[in-house]
Amino acid sequence: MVRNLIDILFLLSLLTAIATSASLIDDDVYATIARFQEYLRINTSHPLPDYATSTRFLLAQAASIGLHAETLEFVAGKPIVFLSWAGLRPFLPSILLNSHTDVVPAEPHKWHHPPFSASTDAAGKIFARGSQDMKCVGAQYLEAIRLLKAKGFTPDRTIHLSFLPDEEIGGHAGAELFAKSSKFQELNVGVVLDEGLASTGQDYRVFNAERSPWWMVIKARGAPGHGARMYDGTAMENLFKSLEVIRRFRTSQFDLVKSGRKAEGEVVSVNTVFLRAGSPSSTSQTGFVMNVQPSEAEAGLDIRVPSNADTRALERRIAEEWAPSSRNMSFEFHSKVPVHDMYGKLAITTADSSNPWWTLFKEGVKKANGRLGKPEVFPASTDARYFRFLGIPAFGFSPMANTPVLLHDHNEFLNKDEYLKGIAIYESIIREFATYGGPANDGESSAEL
Amino acid sequence: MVAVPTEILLVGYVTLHGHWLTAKSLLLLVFIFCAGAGAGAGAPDFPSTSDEESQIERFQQYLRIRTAHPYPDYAGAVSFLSAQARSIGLETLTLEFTPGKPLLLLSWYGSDLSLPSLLLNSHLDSVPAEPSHWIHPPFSAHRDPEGRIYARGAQDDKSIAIQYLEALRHLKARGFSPLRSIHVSFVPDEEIGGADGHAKFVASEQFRRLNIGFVLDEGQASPTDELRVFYADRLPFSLIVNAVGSPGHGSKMYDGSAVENLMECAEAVARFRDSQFDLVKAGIMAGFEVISVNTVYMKAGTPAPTGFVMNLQPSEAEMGFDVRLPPTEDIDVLRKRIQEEWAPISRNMTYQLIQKGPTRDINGRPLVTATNESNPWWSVFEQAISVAGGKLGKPEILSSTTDARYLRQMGIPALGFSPMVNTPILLHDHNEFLKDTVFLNGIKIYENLISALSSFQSESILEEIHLEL
Repeated sequence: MVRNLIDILFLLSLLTAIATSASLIDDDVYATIARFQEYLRINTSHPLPDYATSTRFLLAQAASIGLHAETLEFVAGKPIVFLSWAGLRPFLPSILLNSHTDVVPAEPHKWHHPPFSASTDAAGKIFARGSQDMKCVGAQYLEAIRLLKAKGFTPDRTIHLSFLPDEEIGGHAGAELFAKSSKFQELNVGVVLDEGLASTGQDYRVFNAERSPWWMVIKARGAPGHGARMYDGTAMENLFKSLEVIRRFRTSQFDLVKSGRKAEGEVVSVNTVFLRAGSPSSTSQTGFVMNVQPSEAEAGLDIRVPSNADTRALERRIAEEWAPSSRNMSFEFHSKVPVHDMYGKLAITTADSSNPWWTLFKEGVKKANGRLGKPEVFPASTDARYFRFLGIPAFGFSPMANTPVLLHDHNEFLNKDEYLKGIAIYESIIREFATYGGPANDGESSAEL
Repeated sequence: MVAVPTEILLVGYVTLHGHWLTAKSLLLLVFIFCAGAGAGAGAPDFPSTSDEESQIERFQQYLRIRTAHPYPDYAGAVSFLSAQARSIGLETLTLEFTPGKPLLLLSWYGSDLSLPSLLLNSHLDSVPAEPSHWIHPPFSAHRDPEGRIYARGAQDDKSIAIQYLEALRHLKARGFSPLRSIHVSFVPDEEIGGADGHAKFVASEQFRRLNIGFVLDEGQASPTDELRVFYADRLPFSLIVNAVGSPGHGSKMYDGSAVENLMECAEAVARFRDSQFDLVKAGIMAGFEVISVNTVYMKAGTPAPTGFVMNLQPSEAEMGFDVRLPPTEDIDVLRKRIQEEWAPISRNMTYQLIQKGPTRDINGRPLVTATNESNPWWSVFEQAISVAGGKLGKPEILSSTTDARYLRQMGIPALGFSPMVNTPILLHDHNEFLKDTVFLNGIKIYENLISALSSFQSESILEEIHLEL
């Protein structure tokens, strides 16, 4: 009898809790999406991102959630919004939830909805530059914390949130300076979450390494001459020979991906990002002198190198085949990110059971009913590399399933249901991370709710 | 060495045509004869006369005027040349069909104004020069110990301008009197197509009144000891091809990018170019008999403050080509090739083929000047060169394009001729130069040419009428 009463009481309180939280969720869904849209509407695209407005927005969110906030400005005009939720055991290594506020430009005439409108369509898709890359993640972190706080959760470990500028142009005024700073050292970060990619299938994608970008310019020289004269050894001819060699290499790597033998992040990719040659003319219709063959011609290359690539062989290939001095060519690296961390190890975060953070991460996703794919090498670059360089484990993760990959593309969107599911995933992961007591305390952490 | 017999022959030649020389002029002629005897051809530092040194000095002065695009000092050039003309005793007239682009016309009226006149043409403007690639500044007109005078325009084409004037100066000084009027034109705009220069000139009333019967215009240097003469130009076109494709992240490999599409076009063009160039290399055809296609610019990329965005593959890529067609070729055949192979719509490409001037004359015939008996001017020219001791090569089609086409388009015979022997072809190149001895010898050649051509009287009235047409 008493047993039944207790059961009924338990059931009643459970139902009430569910009903309360359900209505909370109904009201809050609108507000949650509205906050996301507000963030999306701030035009933080290069070349002049409106960091002032995004900073104001994020600080207001911090205030409303109840997080300690500060703005760090290592470079004037490029603020980092830094939020903290102090844990009960602050001496334990902290958790860093990292995201960037800047976005790449958008060409409005190529979008069906204005790229900073955050308009939704009937299917619930929210269209905006940054909806996948990566304002969704930054906003989801905040929403997850908001929910945890509302539920009365208190973390053991301190949780930090960093909203960085500059990622899309290399992170030099953002993550690079932040990671090197004494402020960062004081944080004693144990694990970092940063951006991933949308998944077209059911499984979320997670990344434990990335390819290193090598940005370079190859330059050909040759005798200039009259436009009417055919002769050998022009700058253009020399450049085209190089581009042909590069094309063949690219095809060999691309074929590995096309045939399914390797994943995108496992091959060396090379793409031409600019071509430049010609004598400028202010009077010509084309902007160039049309009867002179130029003495110089350049091509810009974006090369991505996976950690396990033979970098010495690649460097030799560049010097001997892509821009050999024998063909009057020279080359210059604008940026060359190393594949090793500061300890000389390959900059890869271990993604197996030997790394407790990996186990916790997987658990977090599973508990929120998410499905996780195998860990991958991120095909491009994120700020995570600055943290991995310091030997800190970092996972690239953006909870977007059943979504086409549209970062940097026209008509970038995220479905609002996916967005909301992602919040729940983060809530679960943060819970796992924040209650992890450390290597000696595994038993304790799993006993907590 | 060459000068000696020339002077003697010239006296005889001129005398034969009934122009008696005064005693004063004869004395001057003897002086020149003696001075000429001292002139060695090709000696590194030759014993030049003060007259020759002044000629070189005037050449250098003209070379120093900065006439390179995009801002040619036309006013400076016209001012200098007008002063020279006045010192020679020629009539000057400045025409300005386009504001800021003057055309200088000098005239020496002949004794028979009813006969069609002779026009000596050159252009005022020059192409740009990149000083960092020159061993001497491109507007210094530095004369090295070997006698090479370095300047943009030394070959193309300020040498002929001064050579015309110096030849006329000498002819006047000798008391020569032309039968036909001699006009000298210095036009703007040639290096950028001539639309504001010669094109407007030939269409003008002033030009019509000149009643031009024959034209000498610029030619090209000859690396051998043969003088080169040109009877036609290749027809110039500009070809612009534009490719579009999906833009994308710099890290992502995908097919169909704009750059990939453009590179396929570049490959197709290169193969065609090789096929034409191979014919020349194999000796099967001369350079001017083939279609040349050369890349002059390329542009693709998203601009950034420091240059270009390095992680974005552009959605558009463009290339420009300089295309030249022998005057007998059909442009439509090439157009078809462009449409089907070089810039097909199927590869997301568009093109613009821009014709840069006339392709046929007013009678619908190819733009060529006859170099045989059908053209009486030709034998006068040939003979005068021979008299001057020059060795004339087989007439060629100029592989590039000059203002002569505007005159040929009117049906007026025109020859391209720049007396530069044993000189490497350096027009539009770095370190363009002309040797002082070659320059001076050119003046003498022009003296012969101008006196012969301006004294030319055709055998019948009918021939004159035909020529006038």
